[in-house]
Amino acid sequence: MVTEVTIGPNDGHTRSKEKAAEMSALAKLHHSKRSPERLLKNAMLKVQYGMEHYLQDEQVSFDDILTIEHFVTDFLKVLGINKTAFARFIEMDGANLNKYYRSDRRFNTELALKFSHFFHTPADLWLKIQIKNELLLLQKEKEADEKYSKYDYEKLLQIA
Amino acid sequence: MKVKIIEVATAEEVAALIKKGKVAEMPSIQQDWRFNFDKELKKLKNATGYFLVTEETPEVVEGCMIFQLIEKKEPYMAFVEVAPHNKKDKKKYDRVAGCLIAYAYQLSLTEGWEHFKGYLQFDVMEQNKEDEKKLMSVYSSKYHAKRIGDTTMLIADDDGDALVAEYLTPLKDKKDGQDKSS
Repeated sequence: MVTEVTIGPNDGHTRSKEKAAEMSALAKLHHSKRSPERLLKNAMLKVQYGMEHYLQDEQVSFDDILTIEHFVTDFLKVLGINKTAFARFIEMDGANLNKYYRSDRRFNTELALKFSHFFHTPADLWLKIQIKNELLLLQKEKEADEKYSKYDYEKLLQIA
Repeated sequence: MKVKIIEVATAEEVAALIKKGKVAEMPSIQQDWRFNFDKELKKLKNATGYFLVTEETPEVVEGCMIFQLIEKKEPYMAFVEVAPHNKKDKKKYDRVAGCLIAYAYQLSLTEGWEHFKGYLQFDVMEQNKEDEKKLMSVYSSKYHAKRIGDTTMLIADDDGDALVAEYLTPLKDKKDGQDKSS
């Protein structure tokens, strides 16, 4: 009896050598037929999905932060474009753009829209990553505050 | 990962989440599932369990999926099952399996190695060959999978894009007329 859509349980590592070789050959053949556009699209989607998964991962801590600059770098690597050329294309001064990467200036909607159109991603994705990272920083500062709050002369002198 | 599923009784969208699951959180046959996800996950090398829950009832697992990276390179969907209360005439929520399978495809892009990137394989193996054929047909029609071997099916490239667009893109952004059921 077919139970809806249940698949498995299967273990890919228990495939026979023959089957593993057959599947590997099929994968290579499939890959050899991929158009340059498809190869590029897959590489870009890898970065975009990485952003989406990072955004939704509740287990990310401050030490694991991935900045907007990190994702821009990944995208530009795929496209074979350097940061200077990218900045020029989106009509930004390179030094100015670096200030946004370093959070010396706040990443804003206009920049999000430029990035989203250039990289073919949703605009809110960039803004949400910025907000997530700001909250992680805030959380770290709060933890530091709590850690050091015991060092208070009032506690030593037991002043109410 | 935030997703939307459909409550069958009302046809309303319900906010849900796909989360990475620890072994202890995985469902089992004691809870009327067909398999013991906890035991199966422990046995598999390079495998991660994911489950889907609604935001309203995060303690109730609506569906489970185990994603495996064969030899740390080759994306493989080792296991998919929806909760007993989401099966057949008892179905409470629709689109649960679709969301999990689409998420597995996304993982094939983020985790897959070289020519295996965006190449999600899985095996359909039932005791009865007729059931196997029927299940393959379901995966072809509903989840854009193609048969590439005796029991092996594949979701890749355009098919993967279509799957993600159907199940992981906000429903309100979809064009009219698309089948949204899983």
